Formats: sequence, C-alpha cells, structure tokens
Amino acid sequence: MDPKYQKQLIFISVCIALNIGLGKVSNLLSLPFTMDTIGTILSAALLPWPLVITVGALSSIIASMVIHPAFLFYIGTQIVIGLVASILVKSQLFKTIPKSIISGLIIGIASAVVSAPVTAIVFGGVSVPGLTALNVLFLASGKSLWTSVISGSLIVESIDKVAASIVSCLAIKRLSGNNQ
Amino acid sequence: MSISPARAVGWTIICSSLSLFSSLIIFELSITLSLILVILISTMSIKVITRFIILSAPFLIPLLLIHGVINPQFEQTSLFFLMPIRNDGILFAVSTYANISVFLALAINWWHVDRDNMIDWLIARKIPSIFICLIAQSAAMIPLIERRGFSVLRSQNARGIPTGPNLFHRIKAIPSIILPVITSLMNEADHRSYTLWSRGFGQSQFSGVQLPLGQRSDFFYIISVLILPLTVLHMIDLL
Repeated sequence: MDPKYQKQLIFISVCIALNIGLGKVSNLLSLPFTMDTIGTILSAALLPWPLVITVGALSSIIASMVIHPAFLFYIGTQIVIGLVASILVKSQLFKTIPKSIISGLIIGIASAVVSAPVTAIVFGGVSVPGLTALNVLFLASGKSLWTSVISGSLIVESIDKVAASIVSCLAIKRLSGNNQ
Repeated sequence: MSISPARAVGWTIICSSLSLFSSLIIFELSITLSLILVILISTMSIKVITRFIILSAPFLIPLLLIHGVINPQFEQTSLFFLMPIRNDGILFAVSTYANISVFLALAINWWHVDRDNMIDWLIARKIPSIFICLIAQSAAMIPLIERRGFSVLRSQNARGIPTGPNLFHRIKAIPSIILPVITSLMNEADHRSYTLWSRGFGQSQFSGVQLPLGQRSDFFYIISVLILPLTVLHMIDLL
C-alpha cells in the first residue's frame, strides 16, 4: 500500500477517535457543547471529501457501538457536516476565527436541518437533555412538535458547531505551524 | 458468556422482520422482551436488564411527559392534580417507545458479541482488512483520548489555569485542554503510520483467518444487510 494512503488511513482513525473521544472529554469538563464534530471538521482540512464522508459515517457507527445505539440514526448528520465542512475549507472559511464563526453557523444550520427530522420522527422529540428541555419549552408555548424540534435543534446545533469550528480553526493553525 | 456473530445476525433478521411487518405496540414490546430474555439466557448476565433500563428509560419518561402532558397537538382528556392528561399522546409516546425498544434490544444483542470473534468473523467473510483496521484503530484510540484529556486537565490545574467550577472558566479552558490533545494525536499519526508499515500492513494480499463458513450464516448476513435499511425506513414511517 502507498505510504500516502497508509497515512490517510491513520488520519481517518484519528479523526473518528477525536469525534468520539472529545465528546467524552467535554462530558468530563461538564461543557454545554458536545464537541463531537471536531474530528469531521479537521478531516475536511486534511483529507479529500470521500474520506471525510467515511470519517463522518464511521464516527456514527462506532459511537453507536461504544456510547449509545441512537447515534446510528444521526449518520446522515455527520455525512452532511463533513460535506459542508469540505466546501467551507475549500472556500478558505477556516482561516481566521471570525470566518470560522460564520462556518460554524452554516454547519450548525445544515446539521439542524438534517438531524431535526430524525429527532422528531424516530425519537418523538427526545434527544440529549439540553435539546429535549428546549423542545419541551417550545411545545409548552403552543408550537407544533416539528417547529419545536427544528427551533431547538437550530439553537443547540449553532452554538455547538460554532464552538467546534473555533477549536478546529485553532487546531488547524497550530498543526500548520508545527509542519512549517 | 458472549453471543456469536452469526447468532447476532440471526436475531437481527428475525426481530427486524417481525417489527417490519407489524406496528402493533403489544407485538413490538413482546419482541423486545423476548429478545432481552434470549440475550439474558445466552449471556447468563443480569447486566442485560440493567443496560436495557439505562438505555431506554431516558426515552420513555420524556416521551410520556412530552406527548402525554405537554404536546398541544393531542387533545386533553382529563386532569390529574391540575396536570393535563392526553390519552392519544400517551398512546403515541408508547408506540414511539415500542419502536425504539426493539432497536435498543438489538443493539444490546450486538454489544454482547465478543470483539475478537467478530473481527475473525468479518475477516472470514472477506470484509476488506482496511475497513476492519479503521474500526479497530479508532476504537482503540478513544480511551487514549479520554486519558490524555484527563491528564491535560490535571496538568493545567496544577499550572494554576482555572478550568472550573463556573461555566465561563470551563469554556475559557477548552482550547488549553483540547488543543494539546488534538495536536499530540495528529503528530503521533505519522509514527502510527510507520509502525503499521513496519508490521507489513498492506504490503501483501491478506488471506484472512480460515473459519468454517456455513452457507446459512452467509445467507443470514446478506438478508440482514437488506432488512436493516427497511427497518430504519419503517421506523421513520416511510414504509
């Protein structure tokens, strides 16, 4: 096997492990963000897009094996995040922190649009505790299940993905600094 | 005691097919209970029940609360200590839970498959070694990230960098904890790549472990690949 492909293989493993491991580290710090997409965003900066999709898809599969089976249903979300992040990296939108905030918002919106139908249809509006609480709040204010889940997802995902994008931007800067 | 991969595939096919062709709440809950009972007998471990409760309770309670009490889309049928009760909502919550519970029971079934047996089984079925290596490498690195995150957290604390207890400090500490973990792992990737190469990975055609292959289990394997997506479509009401 070409050493270049072997290196890519290792990068894929590292990015998958970062997605799952950093999610657990953020739990350890009791952070309000899940940080479970940093690996996918980083892979978009390091790998070609078909491999970014592999990182996203395998992250969901492995997370469903080691954390919770429900992660399997969000496989589409990770794939979309990977595709959007690849486009944003190509458009140089992870160069500075203000740009990465915009990227985070774009990824957050895309992620909410893809994950909200899964939360609403498969899980009846139940998701991670913070999002479930927001959904309940919107439902109690008289909104429909779909509106509540989409609104809740947009708020939570935007905050989460902006944080993940800022950390990824800093990591990309540090890694490129190390390689120079 | 663990479950063999072939048996896990068999149960996946049986339970997915049964739940695919019926959406009766009682029927789906019976499938779940039967499967849990089968896993319990196969593994002789009471942990199966605890695991199922831990996994499914966070769905059942919020579902009942959201749809049986709060969701205004369902008509209020009675009051219980000033709390509105919506019978249709409760029915919807239990139906959603029944769908989820079959899936959770199947996941527990797969969690009891021995990892080494599973890898041998996959290799024997000519699954590309790259795919198996990716999953095994990633799974092995997750505890490493957790340990490293924890040790960086302790080091930063020792240096006097505040990492808590208030939310502002915790958010401010993210770069100082997460960035060292990311950079160290990325730098290690090079060494891991050389280690793989020096161990001969990808340098010759891998013949795999020769396990006796039963035609029936291969048939089960192919059918499960077809049935699982159908089950997911059924769960999201597209079928």
